Parts: sequence; C-alpha cells; structure tokens
Amino acid sequence: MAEEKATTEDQKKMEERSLSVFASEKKEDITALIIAFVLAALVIITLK
Amino acid sequence: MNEEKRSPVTLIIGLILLAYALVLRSQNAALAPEGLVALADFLKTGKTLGTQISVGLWSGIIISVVGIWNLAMPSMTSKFDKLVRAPMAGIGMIIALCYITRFYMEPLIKVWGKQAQPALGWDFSSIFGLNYILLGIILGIVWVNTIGIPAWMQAGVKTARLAMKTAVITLGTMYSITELKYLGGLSILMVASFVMGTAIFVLWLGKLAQIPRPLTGVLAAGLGVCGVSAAVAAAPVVKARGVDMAYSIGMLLLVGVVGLFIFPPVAKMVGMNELQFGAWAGTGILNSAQVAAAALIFDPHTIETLKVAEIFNITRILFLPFIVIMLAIWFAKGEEEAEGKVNVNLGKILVDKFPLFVLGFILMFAFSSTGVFTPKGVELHGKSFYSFKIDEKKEVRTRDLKKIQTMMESGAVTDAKVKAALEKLVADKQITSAEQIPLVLKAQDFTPDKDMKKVFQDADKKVQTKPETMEMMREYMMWLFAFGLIGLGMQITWTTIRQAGGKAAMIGAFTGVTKAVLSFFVCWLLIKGSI
Amino acid sequence: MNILVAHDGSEQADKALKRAVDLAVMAKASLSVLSVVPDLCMMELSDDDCKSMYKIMTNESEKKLAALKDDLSKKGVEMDTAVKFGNAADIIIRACTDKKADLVVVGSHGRHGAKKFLLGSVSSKVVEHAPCDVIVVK
Repeated sequence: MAEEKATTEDQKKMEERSLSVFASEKKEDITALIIAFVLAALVIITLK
Repeated sequence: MNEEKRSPVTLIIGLILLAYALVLRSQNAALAPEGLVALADFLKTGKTLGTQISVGLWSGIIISVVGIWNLAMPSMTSKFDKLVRAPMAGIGMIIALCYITRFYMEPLIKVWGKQAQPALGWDFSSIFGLNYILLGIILGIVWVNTIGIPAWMQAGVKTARLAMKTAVITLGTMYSITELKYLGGLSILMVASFVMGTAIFVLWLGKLAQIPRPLTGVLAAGLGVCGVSAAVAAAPVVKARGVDMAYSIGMLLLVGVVGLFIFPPVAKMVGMNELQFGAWAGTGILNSAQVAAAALIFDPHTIETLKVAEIFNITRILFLPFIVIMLAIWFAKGEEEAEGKVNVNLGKILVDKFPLFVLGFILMFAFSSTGVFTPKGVELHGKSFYSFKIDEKKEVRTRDLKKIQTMMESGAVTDAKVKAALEKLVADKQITSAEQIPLVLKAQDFTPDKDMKKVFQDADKKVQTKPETMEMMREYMMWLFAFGLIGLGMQITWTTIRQAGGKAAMIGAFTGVTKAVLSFFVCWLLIKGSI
Repeated sequence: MNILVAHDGSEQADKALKRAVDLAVMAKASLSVLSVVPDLCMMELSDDDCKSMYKIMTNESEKKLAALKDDLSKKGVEMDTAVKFGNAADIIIRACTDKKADLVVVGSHGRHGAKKFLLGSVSSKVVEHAPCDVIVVK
C-alpha cells in the first residue's frame, strides 16, 4: 500500500515538474497569441 | 503547505519594483543629479530612465496588488490562481533581474571595457558581446546551478516559455512582405538541405558505429531539426528507451549551449552581417530558444538579426513533422524484418506536432500588413518604414540635388528607369513613392564616388520614419525576450548536461560541429548583401 | 535487515542490482529497489513531450521492477519498489532514512559517459552523506 501512495505522489510531482503553468501545449500557444494581440491592441489604443 | 501559501514574497518584490520606479521618478523631476540618477549618468543609461520608470511602475503596481491578494486570500486552487497569482513572485524576480542585467551590469561592463581598452589593447565587452541578453542567460545558469531556484520562484520561471512565444508572435508584426518572401525562400532552401542532410548523415553514421536504431533515430531528429523537442517527438515513433532519451537530451543541450556562446564572437571576428549571422544561427544552432538567444546576443539593440534567425527557426520547426514521419518509415523498415508491423498514425503526428504559435506568428503578420500598427501614410518597405508625405525636412539638400543633376548630365546613369526616378527626385526634391526607393538606391551602382553614393542613401533615409507604435511594440517585445531568456538560462542545469554519454555523445558532438562549421561557410561565403 | 539499491537503467546499475539480490538471498534480508528517473524537462520541451518522456521512462522502470519482483518472490525474498524523480544521490540518501535501510548498494558510476571527469559522482556523494553503510559495486 505504501508503494502505491508513493507512486501517486510522484505522479503529482511529475505534473509539477513540467515547465509550464498550462495544462497543454496548445493552451499555452493560444494564451501567447491572446497576450500578443492584447498588447498590440493596447499599443494601438494608447498611441493612435 | 498552508504557511507557504501565505507568503509575502510577491508583495515584497512588487513593492521593491514600485519603490525603485518612484525613487527614479522623483529624482528625475527634482533634477537632483544624485544617487541613482548620478549612477545612470556614470553608466550612460540616462536615456533609458523613461522606460525604467514606466515598466517599474506598471509591473510594480500589478505585482503588488497580486501580492496583497496572495497575502489576504491564500487559496491557490483555481485555474486563475495557478496561471496568474502563483507565478507572480517569480515573474517579479525575473523582471528585477532584467533591470539588473540591462541597466546596471551591461552598462557597467561597457564602461569597464572602455577603461581597460588602453591597457589591454582591446575592448573585452564588445569582443565577447557581453550584453544584457548574454549576461541574463549566464546569470540564470549560474543561479540555477549554485543556489537553485527557490520554491516561490518556480511557477514564475515556468512562464518563461510563454514569454518567448508571445515575443515571437509579436515579432510577426515587424516583417514586410518583401522581407518575408526573400527570407522564406532562403530559409526553405537552407533548412531543407541541412535538415535532411543532417538526418540522413546521422542515420548513416549510426549504422556505421553500430548504435541501436532507436538511439540513432532520436539523434537524427534532434541534430537535424530542432534539438531536444524534436528528439523527444521522435522518441515514441522509433520506440526509444529512456536511456536513449536521456543521452540525447543531455547531448543536444550541451551542443546548443556551446554553440550559443561560440557563434556570436566567431561571427563578430569574421565580420558577418545580420543576414549571414541570422541564417547561420538559424541553421547551425539546435534549439529554438537558443537560436533567438544567439541572434540577440549578436545584436541586442536592433532586431534585424533576430528577424532573419526566427524565420529560419520557424521554417525548421515546420519541418519537424516530416522528419518524424521519415523516421517512422525508416524505423518501420528495419522493424518489419524483426518483429512484424509498427503502427504509426502519420496524420496524428502531423496534427499533434504542428506548432500553433507559428500560426499566431503568421496571423500577426497578416494583421500588421493591413496597416493597423502604422499611422496613416506610413508604409513598410524592405526593412524600414517610409512616409512619402511632402515635407521640407525630407528634402534633399540643394547642393546634393545639383550633384545628382551633374551626374545624370555626364551620362553615367545608363538605366532608363533609374534615370527617370532620379529626374523625379530632382523635380520633387524628395522621394515620393515606394517604387522610387530601389531605383534611387540602385543609382549608387553608377558612381564610384563614396560621397555621391551617400547622397542617394541620404535621400532614402530622409523619407524613412520610425512609427511610435512600432517602437513601443519592439520595446515590449525585447522585454519579453529578455525575460524568456533569463528563464532559459535557469533551465540549463548541469544535471541534465551530465546525462550526455557514450557513443551518442560522440556522434552528437561530431555531427553538431560538422553542421555548425558547414553552415558557417555556406552562410559566410554564399549569402551576400542584405535584405 | 533491509537492503536498499538504486537503479537508473545503466549497466553499472544492473551489476549493483544483481549483487544486492545475491546479498539479500544470502542474508535473507528484504530488498528495497529504487528506480531513479532523471529530471530532464526544460524549456525546449513542450509539456506534452515532457509528459510522454516521463511516461516512457516510468513505464520502463516499472516493467523492469515488476519482472524482478516476480523473480525474487520465487526465491522468497521480500521486496518493495518505487520510482522516483530527480537527482539520484539525493534520492538514495533520503531513502536511506525513510526506508530504514541498513545497507545501500550503488554502482561505481551511473549512465553518464563522461567517465573520467565525473566518475562516481553519485556513489561518492552517497558514500559521503548517507547515514547507512554503503557498498560500491565495481
């Protein structure tokens, strides 16, 4: 039993180990796209 | 865990950034040349005070607010908490490191380099390219390999890749169609030959050295396409073992890091231009983030090199699915003899491995080519912005116009189109249309006189303009890159590099060096001129 | 008596494991086998790639451990297994206390091939810092 517990703990650790705060690659890409557009929109609004 | 959640770190970092910006601002307004402002004078960073204040103010306010929130309501379970509240402390810390490297370390080393020049005979800061990008990466590497990343910073470091992606997407706004066409063609040519060439070379070398097929496959993908990510993408297809992956990843990281530090000074020594270096870095360096890093180390103050290198990098990423498919076929062929069929879903590989952010890059390019980012009348041609509105300030000096006239009367200009363009220039006193630009610049070919050449270049420069919107976008993009690259440095760990081993390391080192050297000569000798 | 042995997939580790099994059979001791998966995720790797890499590595270790367990139960040796992530030396040293091991068996060097420079960086660290006795298998 102790073994199994250790594995689930490691599973959790494995998730923490990944190098993104996002659940998947696609979500990160989409977020990057949204941020880029929002920043661009902000620049246009403030300077135009 | 609960005590950890109620940590004041975020607030403290936010307040430090805020306080720094406020101190800088108050001294600036009071015109008291003391303290920080005096230091800025010494370091010659006076011009950057505006940026320093505004970035510090905004990031300080946002991070402080989140910091108070983190203290007051320490729950960290929702998605928003994970994406925004948890990383904030690390984000603030990396922003602070950006400040330290860009506004203090780089200028300080520059000043030292100048001071040491008479004694040494050369300026070490410019030879080694010790700019803030490189210093940031080094700082990151040193930090992670000595004291390590504390728990409160870890979530923030994980946003580094997001920053890099956002930066690359933003870079998409800065290309003109002519540039994209030219670079696209060149990169497809170079990348196709090098990617395929390297992959096939490694497969052959692996057979020669009798390395297990899975390991050879992973190495072929990694060394051919884009490093670590390609190696791991290929791993399931060739049924690589964990050991194979560990070997390859360590090796690819090592080759990349070495390239990162060696490419820029070598290019500086032989006097490569931005197009040559961008192409070289884009083909010779293995990992995506490292390509951007090398381009920015080479030239952190303009984005020309970065633009070239990034197009090469994107082209290479687009090749990834095809390499994976090629490996799948190669592997299946060997496997069939051994143990029957290998099932690989090629369509799924294509869909899964297509990088969405490249689509974002293209989308952003399309968006910007509608002209939303530029004021009315401003157009992007080649790599510069132009405004052709009639303006006294844009007029070529009368003295120079006369020179042009005498040159035409002497019959030196034989091209009818160039002649017409020059006649129009003399009549209008300034360039008035986009079509005129290349023709006026081409007129340089008809005179050996350097001063005369400069007249034509000046006529072109006079109608160039720097739209404020683009300057601002460039500035925030550079912050994103600087941020992302400090994060990149923080992920280069000795433990990972140490995994490199055995024959894999030998093949990797051999192929990596061959590829770097070969692409160096191709770029240096065959690519001429600029965009 | 409890014997602890760590395994990272290398040939040296295989030797260490074999020796540990022999010792356990001889001494009628229980055996704890740790499979260490190195920490290899980095910025260049997408999250999905990162996960698939760990999956491959974990599966491999688990398969190996399961086979070993079957084998040993026939010989009447009690055995527990675990797959851990991270730095091998740190994990072994920590496990030494956690599992109340009396003896640790390690290979003289791990899977990295930069032999001369790094020879036995894990084993020497374990010898130096572990709270229990250590056997280094040559």
